[in-house]
Amino acid sequence: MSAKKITHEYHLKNGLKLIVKEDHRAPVAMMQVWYKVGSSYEPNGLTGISHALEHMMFRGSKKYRGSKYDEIITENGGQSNAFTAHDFTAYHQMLGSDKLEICFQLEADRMHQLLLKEEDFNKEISVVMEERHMSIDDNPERRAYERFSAVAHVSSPYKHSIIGWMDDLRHMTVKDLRQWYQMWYAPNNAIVIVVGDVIPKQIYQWTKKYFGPIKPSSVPTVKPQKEVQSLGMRHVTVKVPAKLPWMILGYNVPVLNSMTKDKKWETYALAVANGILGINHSARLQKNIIRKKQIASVANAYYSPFDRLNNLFIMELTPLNMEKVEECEKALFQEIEELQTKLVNTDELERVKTAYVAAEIFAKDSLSRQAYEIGMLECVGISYVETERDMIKKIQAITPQQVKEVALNYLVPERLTIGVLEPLKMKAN
Amino acid sequence: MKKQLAAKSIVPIQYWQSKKGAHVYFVKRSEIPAVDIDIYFRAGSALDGKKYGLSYLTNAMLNQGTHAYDADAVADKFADVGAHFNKHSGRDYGHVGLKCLSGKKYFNSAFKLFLEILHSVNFPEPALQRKQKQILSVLQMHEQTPSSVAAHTFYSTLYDGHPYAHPIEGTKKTVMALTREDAEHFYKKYYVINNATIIIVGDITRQEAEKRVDEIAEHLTQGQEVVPIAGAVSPKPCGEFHVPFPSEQSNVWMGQLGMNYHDPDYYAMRVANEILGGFSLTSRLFTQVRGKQGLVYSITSAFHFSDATGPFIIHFATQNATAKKALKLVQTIVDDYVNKGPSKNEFLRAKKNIFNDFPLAIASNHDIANLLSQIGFYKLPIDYIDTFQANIAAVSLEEVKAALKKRIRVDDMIKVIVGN
Repeated sequence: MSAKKITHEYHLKNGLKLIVKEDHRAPVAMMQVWYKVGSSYEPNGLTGISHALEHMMFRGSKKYRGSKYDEIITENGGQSNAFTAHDFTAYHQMLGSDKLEICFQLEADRMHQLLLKEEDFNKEISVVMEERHMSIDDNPERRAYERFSAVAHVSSPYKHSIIGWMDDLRHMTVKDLRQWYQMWYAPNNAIVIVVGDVIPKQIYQWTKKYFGPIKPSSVPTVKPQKEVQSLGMRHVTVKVPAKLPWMILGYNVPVLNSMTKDKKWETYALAVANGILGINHSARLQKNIIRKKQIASVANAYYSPFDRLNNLFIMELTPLNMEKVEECEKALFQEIEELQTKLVNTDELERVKTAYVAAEIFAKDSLSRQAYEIGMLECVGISYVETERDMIKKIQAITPQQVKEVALNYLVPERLTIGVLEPLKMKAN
Repeated sequence: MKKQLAAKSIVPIQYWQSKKGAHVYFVKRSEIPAVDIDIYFRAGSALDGKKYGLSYLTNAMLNQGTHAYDADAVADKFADVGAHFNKHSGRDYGHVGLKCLSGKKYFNSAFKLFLEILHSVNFPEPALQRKQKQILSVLQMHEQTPSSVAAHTFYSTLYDGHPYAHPIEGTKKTVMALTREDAEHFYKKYYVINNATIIIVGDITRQEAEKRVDEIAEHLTQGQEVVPIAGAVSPKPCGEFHVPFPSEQSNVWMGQLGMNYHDPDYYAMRVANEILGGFSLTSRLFTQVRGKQGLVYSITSAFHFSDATGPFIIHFATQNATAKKALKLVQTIVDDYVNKGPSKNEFLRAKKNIFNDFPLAIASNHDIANLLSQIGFYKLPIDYIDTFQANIAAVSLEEVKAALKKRIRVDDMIKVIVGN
């Protein structure tokens, strides 16, 4: 194995950061531009504005008007899209690597010369509302999740969904978007990521040529908006037309970012604890709730140490029917108690660690996954280049005692919110 | 259509037939220390007979126990080495696969268990009953999801009387009536070496791959190759089908019988559909229904390929109040396009797009394995990848116009509308 450095980092004078990762398996490349702004930056009344702006980024910039952007990408056989999350907004193009230069021209132009025309906005906001209908309003579980989040987070801006409340979308104006664009879209608030069959120096040249002339702006300092201490368990019930119940348990827990150096291991221990519950078919929720107790048909667990703000340690189940909901809740509490009272055995712990190692290797098959990992970390202020090999080491160092310790400290009733979807009879109005 | 042989293969596929007759497609990619092995059997829901859901249940049971291990032990043993045991099934196929790190200490143990499953999966009764309950839950999930209701109504209407008509997962009644013997019998009959297409992509030598394939062959029974289900079904009545549903949006699935991979219009329609509603953001449906009118978030058109003639489907969702307007607009767009054909510009741009887009389809090991499964299972020419771009380049505007008129007709379409 060659020890050649494959990830390269560059900085432009205007504050833009460039990260290039070489992958020469096929003559293609992925280019992404990430902006440090997302739904967690939004004040009340303007929820969903980052995502709405993402839509408008495809409605033309000064040099590439109308749908010129889409036409150029299409002609070059590219695929392009974008996504908005709590902590970032990202735009991506995948093309044959010999055609990549055009992306730099397109992205540079829309970084500072977006048209944002009112007539376009009026169409696009109704597209966004249709997207909301499709992804949340007509999906019972997503609808329940939205209400659960609004309760599980008290003061944190993770409260509202990325797409925003319908009433906020209805009252959003193109003027709001223009302000939002001026505030956050600037080279000093962006990261360009390229992964693929490229020569890093060439990419750096293009970045300087096309993004270099864009002036930096004074990007606002985002307020900490630290989640307040939870003072007791919360319950949310959501009654909507559906056939199946659904339940979700979330504990307010810290993330890597919010921990002092000596406490950072706790977030990795939480990741391992979450893995023990739900990382694969061998994990406890599958074994005990799906296969042994047979009270649910779907079981998952989520937690990521890499969010910008403190977030949730989540378990979710699809109980077989309404009668099983109570039993499911009990079973989940039993799993938490098990983590708190018994040390996980070595075989089981090793399985979870191996799953994390394997996932890292499997992820290298996808250019977009590789780029996503870089952008996701960089946007919450964690250096990818510094942590590239570090994360797996940190996970591997976690001991059974540490898993028990974080379970005792964090997976406690005061930090818990329980959400339950109670199906109403389905009938068309 | 002229085919040009590329000077050098874009993706060097190695094909061979194993000792006992399995078709093997292999691509060596050693940059990432991982291997994917996928086996496709002609064992999909088209073979359910009256036992709707049998192929799905059989496939779902593959990791639920062998003679030596129960479901927990199977899960633990794969997890010990970070391997993923994958399985899924469709109307034509049942799939079983292993995704694994290539290092010996990982691969050997995962592959051993993979063979054990192929050879002695034993459908334990308690696990089977549990799976049946879980499948009922899947069916209920479909019932509360408007796009699933639309898809199901579309297939049952378009393929009325054909083995593609019923849901892959079966129905509540048929699933609960299935037995352990049914599943075992289905497995023994269809998950056999003569009915297998094996795809291997990853960090493994040809020699090693051959050895592993022979081991797979030894662990499956010889069996019979299944003849793909008959090509065409007769054209079905058209019209609108409304399903009342308590949703904000109306989900629309409209379409008709399309074609299969071996159709002479395959490349021409690939170009034709790209312009109408293909993946790009410049299609007529996307720019007019979404861009100009803001009526939908997503709208696509596509040919779906299968053994029997697959469907051509246009799919979108819009709020209930604008459903009629959107449906009418879509029909006008399709009508106009079929009658007049694409403009020269659109035609050239679409060809350029498909031509230039192709390297993206072979970028990752996962992409290559997917393409190989289509080539292998549907018996496409072995040089399909190498000749694809030349075949697209050879398509003429006249061919596209003629094929469109022959293939797409709004009046022949069924229109399923699920909503309020």
